[in-house]
Amino acid sequence: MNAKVKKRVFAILKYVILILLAVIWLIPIFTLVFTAVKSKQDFFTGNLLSLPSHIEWSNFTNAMTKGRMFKYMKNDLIISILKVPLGIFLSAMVSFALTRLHLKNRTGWLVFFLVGMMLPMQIALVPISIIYNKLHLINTYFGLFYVYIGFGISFMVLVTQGFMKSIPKAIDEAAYIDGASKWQTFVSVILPISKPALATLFITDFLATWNEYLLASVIINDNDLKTVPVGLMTFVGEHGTDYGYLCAGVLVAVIPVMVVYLIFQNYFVEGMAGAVK
Amino acid sequence: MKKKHKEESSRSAYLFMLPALIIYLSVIVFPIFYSLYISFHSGTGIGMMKFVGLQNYVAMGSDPVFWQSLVHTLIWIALTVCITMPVSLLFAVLLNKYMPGRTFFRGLFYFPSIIAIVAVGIIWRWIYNPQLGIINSFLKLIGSSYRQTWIAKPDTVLIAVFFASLWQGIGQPMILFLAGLQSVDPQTLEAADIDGANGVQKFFRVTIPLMKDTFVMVLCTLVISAMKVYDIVKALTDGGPNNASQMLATYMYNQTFAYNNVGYGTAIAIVMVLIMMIVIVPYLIFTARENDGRKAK
Amino acid sequence: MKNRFRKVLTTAMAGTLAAGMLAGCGSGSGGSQTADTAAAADTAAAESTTSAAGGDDLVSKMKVDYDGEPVQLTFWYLSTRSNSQAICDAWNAANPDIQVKVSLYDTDGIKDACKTAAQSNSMPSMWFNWGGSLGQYYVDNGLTYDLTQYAKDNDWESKFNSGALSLVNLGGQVSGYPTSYNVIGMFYRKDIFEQYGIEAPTTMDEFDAACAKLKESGVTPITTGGLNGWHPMRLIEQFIEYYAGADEHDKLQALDESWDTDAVVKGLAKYQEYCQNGYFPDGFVTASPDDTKMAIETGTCAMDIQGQWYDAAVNTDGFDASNLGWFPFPNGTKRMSAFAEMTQFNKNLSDDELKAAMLFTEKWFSDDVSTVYPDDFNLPLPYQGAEIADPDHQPHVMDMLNYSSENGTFTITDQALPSECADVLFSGQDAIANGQSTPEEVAKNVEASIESYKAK
Repeated sequence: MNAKVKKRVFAILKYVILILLAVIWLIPIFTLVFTAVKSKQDFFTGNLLSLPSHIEWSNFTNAMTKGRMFKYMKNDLIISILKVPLGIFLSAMVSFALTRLHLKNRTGWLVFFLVGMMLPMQIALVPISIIYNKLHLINTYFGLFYVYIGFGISFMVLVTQGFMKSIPKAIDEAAYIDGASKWQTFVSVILPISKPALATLFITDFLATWNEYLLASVIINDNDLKTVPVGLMTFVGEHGTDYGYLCAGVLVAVIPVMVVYLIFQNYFVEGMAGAVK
Repeated sequence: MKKKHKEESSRSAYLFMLPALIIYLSVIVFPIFYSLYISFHSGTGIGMMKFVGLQNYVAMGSDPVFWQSLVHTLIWIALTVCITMPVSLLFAVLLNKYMPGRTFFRGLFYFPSIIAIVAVGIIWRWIYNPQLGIINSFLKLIGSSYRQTWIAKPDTVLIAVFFASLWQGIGQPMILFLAGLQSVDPQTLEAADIDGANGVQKFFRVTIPLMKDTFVMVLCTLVISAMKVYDIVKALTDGGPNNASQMLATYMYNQTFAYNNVGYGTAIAIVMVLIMMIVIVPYLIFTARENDGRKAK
Repeated sequence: MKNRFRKVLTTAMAGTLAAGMLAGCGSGSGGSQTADTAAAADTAAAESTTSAAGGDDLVSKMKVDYDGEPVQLTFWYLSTRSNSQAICDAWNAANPDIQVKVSLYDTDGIKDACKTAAQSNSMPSMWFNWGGSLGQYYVDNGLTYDLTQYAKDNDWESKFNSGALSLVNLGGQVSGYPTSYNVIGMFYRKDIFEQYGIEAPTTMDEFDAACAKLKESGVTPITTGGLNGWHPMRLIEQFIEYYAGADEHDKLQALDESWDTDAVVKGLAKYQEYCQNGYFPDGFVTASPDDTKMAIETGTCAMDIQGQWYDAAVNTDGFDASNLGWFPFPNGTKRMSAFAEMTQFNKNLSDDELKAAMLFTEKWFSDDVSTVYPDDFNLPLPYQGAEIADPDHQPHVMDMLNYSSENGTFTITDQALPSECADVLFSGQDAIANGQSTPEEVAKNVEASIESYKAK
């Protein structure tokens, strides 16, 4: 009885905290959504959180047609869909070596791979641009794709090695006894077990790739190849920005990432505990 | 026999790392060496640059804006470790087990990190707006006479920008913690239950130690991204007012790209990397050693 | 020797990367090929839509006479001007011998892209730039085509507005083709001034009085946004002009005279006085300069210091520019603050390429295009005798320009000062507004930054 009451109190307390936090988190989001559906007149006369007098759908249609959001999103999708899995795979290979194969000075290697996260991207612009001009990689998706993988490796190695460390060594040994090669063990034993880590990475790295601005703006200068964050900057006006139009564009750009998030969050929800055993 | 096996294994370790290594060398390692080289020179970045030895590094000592930026960045790191990390852990713990509405809450707290930074800047500038902004309007509503210009005052700007960044950035550490919580073996927790541990004890004595690898990940990413904080500052205050929110990354950018002091700006970037190493490497070595120690037992 | 080290390092790394490309081919290239084809298909689609939107009309107007070798050029321009791609497509359709690829960047993006390109030796054939210290970098580093002789041969003196031409003259050479010429004055809400019986001020005392009157009446006199610093600077430079007079201000701007001087201190003190009197909106220090017009349109503020483009900017918000009036800031010299924009040319252009690039630029910044896409230009174009197409809706433009050509101009401060010194001034503005520094300290700091800039 007592335990039951306690449990219920906890559950209610939990909801109260969550709802309070949700309200704080929602206010800025409402500001964004309201701005996106307000007409200019509404925007100038009303309070920021006041309800729009009518919904101005033209902000969205303008963003899609005049703002070419479809094209930017398609470009970004192509890059993200190719880059994210490949980057994860290559980094998982590194982590496999770091955590499960014989290697001297593992911590040293890990630090070495982490330096990539520490390097401020701005500093890398000039050296990368020098090589890219030599190799004619400016304005190619391959070029962008290549630096994205390079810059993504650090974080992905950090995450995958963290998860792989917790997988018992006995699993590999069982696979080797069954006659599996290292490659087979990696691909068909360790990778499937790491699914929660990979799903987490898919979400975070997809987001990072989708929203990357700096490298994309320097490596891609063909207007037809631009990605979403660079494209969104074209919504910013020279003598004042049309906020409704910009916020509508931002909201549209959110959709693919949200979809990826909703799909992949189910994978790590299922949990790793079951898979390990 | 054993030795041969080891050799073979370490060769295959290198083979496994090779593809990533090639990309990493060209995209990360080369720019680092290039930057090191540039940081010992002065000039505009074009043509012959003059070798000046450590002069760029020495110059930081007498540059008040550099020190200001350094202090702000360190404060930012401290805030991230003391606030962002516990808060994201709290969110993850609250949303770990199934409950009605869980997907909604998870999605909600993750949502801000998807929004393009130009919009984040705009939204928060409105929220902090002294006349129209929601915070001051709320204060008025509850009858408080307290008004604040938030991002316009040197004593509030850093914390105001930090809060915007907390709102925006909680999603990633939350997801990492969620994934980490999922990897905690429920059987261990059940065992603790039998021992009569209550929820809080269980969390601190069982769950947290089991999530050590997750903490390494979260702490590393948070500290590094705090050290490099750039976008949100650029969008909200551009380092102002009077450098009160100037960060190492924004200052480094200004020196390199706006002032054409390429050598000096690059030297600041190198110092940033060094500071990150000083913070992170001992932590990594410590946790690695602890792991090995436990394994040996 | 050192350059060779850099070369060796680059080549070595380029080699590694090439190897990486080969290694990556197995998994990567298939995908990127698809991407290329998709992109090509897109380009075709984009062309067909733009030719529908821009009209074949524009294509026919774009045709120029060119007898040189066929050339391919690149042009980096602003994405904030939304029809640039359409203009370029029309040009390419009309002139098969001069094919131009335009790349569009946002305002900060183009600065980064150009700096990166300059340092990696990959400048385009033509690029947008601002005059003054921003354009100077490319001149100082020998990246721009010296157009001095070209300008002489083609009589630019009588072609361009003289103010515009003098602003693109950097480091003793004509460093670019002027594409816009902007002058800054004080805009005000006519109805608010009328309501409180205020006349457009003609002296500093009247200006002070007008501000005081507005403040008393509960209207914030001047809207400004201090984020990035340059908007409040427009007012401060007028104060400095007032206290220094034309000659001394010119010397200050040329860095020939110390900024730690009476006129600068007085100018900053005036700004301090205005801050203390509450003549600017609360929290303006980090407010966005993009939003100043909101305060004018809603009537919470009475004045905004802006350029002649302001008419068009408020019109696009659905606010009729004829509700506004303007007056030149009563700085005693009658000079207006001015700045120019230009197209700079790559120093490596061949004769044919320069000819082609010049034809392209002349066409782009001509009435043929500006009448079709007026929103893409800071009108009027910087030519002598240029007019605007729609004077009824932009009532102040010609008036401001005529006033400036009668009374002269000075270079806007953030283009006159090197960026690092301008930023010290901007920080000082904030510090004064927040009561952290005195005008004397700020003047000293700016001078110190100028000294260290000169010492480089």
